[in-house]
Amino acid sequence: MNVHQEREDAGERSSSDQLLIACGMVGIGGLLLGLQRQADGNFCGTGFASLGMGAVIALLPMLFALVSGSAAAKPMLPHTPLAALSSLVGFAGLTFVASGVLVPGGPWMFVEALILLLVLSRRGREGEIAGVRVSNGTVIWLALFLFARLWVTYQGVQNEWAAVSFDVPLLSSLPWVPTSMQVVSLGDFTAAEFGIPAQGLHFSHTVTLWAVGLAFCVGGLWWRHRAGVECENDRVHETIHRLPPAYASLVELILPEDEWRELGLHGLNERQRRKQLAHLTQERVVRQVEFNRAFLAGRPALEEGAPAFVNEIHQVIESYSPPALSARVVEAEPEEK
Amino acid sequence: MPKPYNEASMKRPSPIGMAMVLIVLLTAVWVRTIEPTVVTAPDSEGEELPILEPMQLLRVGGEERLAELDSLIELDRRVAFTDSRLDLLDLDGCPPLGEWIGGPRGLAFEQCAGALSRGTRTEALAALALVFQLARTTEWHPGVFGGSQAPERLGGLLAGWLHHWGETAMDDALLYEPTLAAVLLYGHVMNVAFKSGMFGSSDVSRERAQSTLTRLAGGQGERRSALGIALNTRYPGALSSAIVEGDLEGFTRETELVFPTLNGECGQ
Repeated sequence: MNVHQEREDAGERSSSDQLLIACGMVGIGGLLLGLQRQADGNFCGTGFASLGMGAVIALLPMLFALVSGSAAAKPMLPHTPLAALSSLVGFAGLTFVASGVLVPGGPWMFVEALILLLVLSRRGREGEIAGVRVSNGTVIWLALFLFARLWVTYQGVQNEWAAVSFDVPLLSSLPWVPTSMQVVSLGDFTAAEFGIPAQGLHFSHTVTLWAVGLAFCVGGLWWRHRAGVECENDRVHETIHRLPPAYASLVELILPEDEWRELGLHGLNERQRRKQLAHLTQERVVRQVEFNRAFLAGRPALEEGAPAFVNEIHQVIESYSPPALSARVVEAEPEEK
Repeated sequence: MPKPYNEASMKRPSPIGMAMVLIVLLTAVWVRTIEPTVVTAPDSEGEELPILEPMQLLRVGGEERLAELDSLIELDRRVAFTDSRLDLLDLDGCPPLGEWIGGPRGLAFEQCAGALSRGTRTEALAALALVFQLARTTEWHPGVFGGSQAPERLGGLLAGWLHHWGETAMDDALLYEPTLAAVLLYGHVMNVAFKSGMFGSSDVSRERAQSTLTRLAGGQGERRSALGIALNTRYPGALSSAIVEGDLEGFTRETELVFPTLNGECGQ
């Protein structure tokens, strides 16, 4: 029974279906992030400036990942139409997320883009979005930029064309003093710079669109990543189960599923996967044989009053006893010589 | 026996599903090209306007053209209109608005302006022209020690007119521009009322203006009325903070540029 039949029997969606749904989620998220609602109730687009900048931000960390890092961190080569679509969606999704949090224009956009580029290019340990490792710090930066974008948009909706305005003490309490002397404004911007239409924005609807869009994009990217790993695992599983069942079980025992990605079994075509599996199985078996040989060569007796750590290791090693395999290794040894 | 390698045993994703994802992706890029709606003044669509260049009636020199309106006013209101415009022409020396409007000629003027506001669109324009003329020829700025009564009275006349015509005028080529000018002057006048007195301020005036402007323009950050959108497009500085914080300074700044003589001191 193949892995897809097993899933269907268990009432689960296949990993390829999950990958497709995740890709759809990213697309819908990008669509919502590309829209804003005008004050007259019509919809308009958010423009291409931030999308282009988002694409640059998405591309460069992917290139960094390509030229450095472990096999697992490197982008996989798509061997199926679905994998190709998934790669495209991964890039588009990261572009949508970056463009969704960047302010839509002006010098601020470049400053934000530079910071995002730097933090995304650093290799984090905690997670991954679309082939780019993402740390908690990166997520915080993304959240900060999103907040900055919402704040600036809100200011624009209020016709306040500055990021921050504060009242001058004393002067602001005198009604006959001109407002220009009562208020100090920092970070001026224009409506055109930030893509705010002349008739204004329907702020609450626009923010809701962006929030839902961002949730769909990030959720879709996360799901896509998990489903992509599952898809690749299913492919490895299929290859292993083309062996006789007894061999397949042994290979799965010696090469556990949660190591397949780290061992570079993902992103390979069928021929490469078979060769890699054979190579890895041989490597693991040789290691097992070496261990058995060392085990049978003799072990020191436990000394009185040995530290707890030594005692613990001793117990674990002594509990190991593979007589059949050990016997075959011992018998085979003279012939090899 | 080992199972032979068979690519078909792998579950294939639905081509329709993949096509749909591609379409959604392309749509996500395409939506960014949607341009914002362009706000334009209503077109008269070939209809000949009863009055050419209606904004001239509200600007300096508008009193010279007020007589053109006589023939366009309904017969039962025509006499009152003619009397009122002549009274305004006779005003000399910038009398205080509060005193003048409380007198017999002022009361008749107020009744005439109210009646015209409830009439046809041409009569509405005539009413607005009278109010602008009144604002130009009387003193309503309270100065350092004055109160907010005079600007409040003028603001009341403008608010009454705007309640009748504020929304419908946005589809009217004749009243579109004059209505925006009326909102501008209303905000400015109420700002003067708010800032009356040397150290104090009339919060009541500000709150009243805030409430009226919110009703006319729609909530800031929410769906705006046609008037709010038109005002934001034509005079973007005016609505600045007016709806949320009641800051009317933007109206004053815009009015000083567009109607420099409407300063409450007869342009002095």
